[in-house]
Amino acid sequence: MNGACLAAYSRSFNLSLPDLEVRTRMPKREVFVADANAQSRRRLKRLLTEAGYAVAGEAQDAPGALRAIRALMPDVAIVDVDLPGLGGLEVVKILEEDRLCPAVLVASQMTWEMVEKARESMVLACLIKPISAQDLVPTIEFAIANYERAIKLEEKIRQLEERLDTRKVVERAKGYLMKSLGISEAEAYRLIQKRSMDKGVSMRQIAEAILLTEGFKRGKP
Amino acid sequence: MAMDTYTAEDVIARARELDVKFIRLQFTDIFGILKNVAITIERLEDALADGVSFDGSSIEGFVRVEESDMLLRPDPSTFTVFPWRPRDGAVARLICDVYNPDGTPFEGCPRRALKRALGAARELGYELNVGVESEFFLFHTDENGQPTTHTHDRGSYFDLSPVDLGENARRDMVLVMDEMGMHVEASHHEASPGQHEITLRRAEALRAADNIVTMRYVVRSIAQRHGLYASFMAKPLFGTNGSGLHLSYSLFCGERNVFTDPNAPHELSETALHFIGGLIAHGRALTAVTSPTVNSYKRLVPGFEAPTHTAWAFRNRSPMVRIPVQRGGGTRIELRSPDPTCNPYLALACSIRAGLDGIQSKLVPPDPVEGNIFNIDPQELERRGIKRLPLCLGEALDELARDEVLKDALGPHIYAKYMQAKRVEWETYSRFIHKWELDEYLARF
Repeated sequence: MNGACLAAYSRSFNLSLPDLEVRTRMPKREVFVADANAQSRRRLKRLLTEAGYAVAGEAQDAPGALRAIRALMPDVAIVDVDLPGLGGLEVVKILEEDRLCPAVLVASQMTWEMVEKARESMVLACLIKPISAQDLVPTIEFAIANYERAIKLEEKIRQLEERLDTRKVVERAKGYLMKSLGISEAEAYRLIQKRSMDKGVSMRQIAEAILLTEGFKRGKP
Repeated sequence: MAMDTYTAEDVIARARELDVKFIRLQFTDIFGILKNVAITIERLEDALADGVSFDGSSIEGFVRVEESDMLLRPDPSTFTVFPWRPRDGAVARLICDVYNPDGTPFEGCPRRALKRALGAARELGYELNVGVESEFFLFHTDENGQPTTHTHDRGSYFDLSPVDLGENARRDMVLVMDEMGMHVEASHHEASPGQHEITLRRAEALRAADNIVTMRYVVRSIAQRHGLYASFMAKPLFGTNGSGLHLSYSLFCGERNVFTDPNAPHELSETALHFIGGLIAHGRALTAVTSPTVNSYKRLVPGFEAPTHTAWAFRNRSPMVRIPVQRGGGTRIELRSPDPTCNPYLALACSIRAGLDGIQSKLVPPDPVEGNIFNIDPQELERRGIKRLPLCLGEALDELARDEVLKDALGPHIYAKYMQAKRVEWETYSRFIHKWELDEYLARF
């Protein structure tokens, strides 16, 4: 970002220059622009560049946007709601479901119907045309931040579910060992733990193997 | 628990557990086009118990307007959840059989035609397993979302990107089908850019047909999510390979594969030879069902690994029937003429009945052909009983009209509707003035 841009940017934000220097030291975020209208794209690209973002790429239709975003993996996509092909909402939904990147939806006006539809997919933020530099930067930044937070939470949930499942399986395997070997619960647990360490596989895998063998013994398929 | 043994109760329990909100009730029309009736989870229990009525007159080739109410009965064993809608309630599907409003099975239901053919096999003591290889193209779309025949974006930054869009899409397709409980493998064809192949592991014949329908649906949906268009058209591009749907059959009597005989030449049993004999004897008529579009016949031409003659072979890939190298339990007979535009239920029903007719009538196939079939003198081919596959849809329909076994396999209702619609399709094409004709003749005469 050159000095003139920086100055314009700081003016539009009423931020002091030292604050901005923090931002300029960060690697440039790559933004993808999907809009059918060439003029809108040009305007948005200019705003983005002035605000210190890199334009990763652009598309004028939904399939083109999906192809390019999958290939380019931008940090965020700004998607117009009237994108030909599938429509912007469907594109945003796919970006979210396939965890491709956070999306900011752009519309000339927001109807209640659109709000309802957008709520179903994970629209992280919305901008109304004409887009001002003032709105653009915080919207993009919040979208990215919230997306990253959601991804982290999702990963944490996955880990917790995995741990919960492991505990259930280990419990059952323990029960089986206690009954069949006539040992205490602590002993059964240690047995599974020891096997897991000896074999270098997870306790869950050992527990599952024990239960599988039990199934065979009882003649279950 | 294997899904094959799902009961109505299992489906309801599983749908609740997976937080399913909508269920798509699926069936195909006579032409193999997948139809959907969506119901909410609240209606699932009733749907499984009593079926769901729908307007059959809206479905091509089904019924007359005055008898428009039809009934869909879901097959609980086909329950599966679409893995690509993870948030806000999952979407599941059930494949259905079509019934008349009075509860009798509907004669126009293609799935029923296949069940009848499998019933005929069972009466002879046989169970059929079918393996499937389907080819398709991934094309790009234009700015209106319409498919083009381009396999790459022209002159854009994609050329610089290391990401192969088609390959990514294909990997997603395989993951999705895997999660849906289908065992698949996928590969890319070097010969034709943008062409891909998906292999579905051997399954019981009805399940195999259900899998083909599901595969086409998954491939199209995932392609769309990747900004690509998947086409199963038989021959979309002039001068490169078309897309085939290779079906390989193995016949079981209990646990025993009856196509194999370790003491026979090539380890192929008499039964296998008769089955091949049946496929070849009905081969020309069968094409009307397995290659059902005008365009299908542009695939069945020499030079592109597509079959052209009612012959069979071991290594050679140009005859209609090929015997892959595996023997013992893995012995199978591969039919290479079908293409993925066919209705898989009808293609399997007809080909299975053709094979069974071979077994029952003890039909003997001509000697297998090795080497290039076009190097064999036409008179020699005729002497050996090897015929050219029909050159066009019209010719194939004429053959079908003369084949009582295949007409019976389709049943009178489907046969009549199919014939009527396909004749119209052929005549419309024949009367149309195509670009090739104008390019060739307009200036010359």
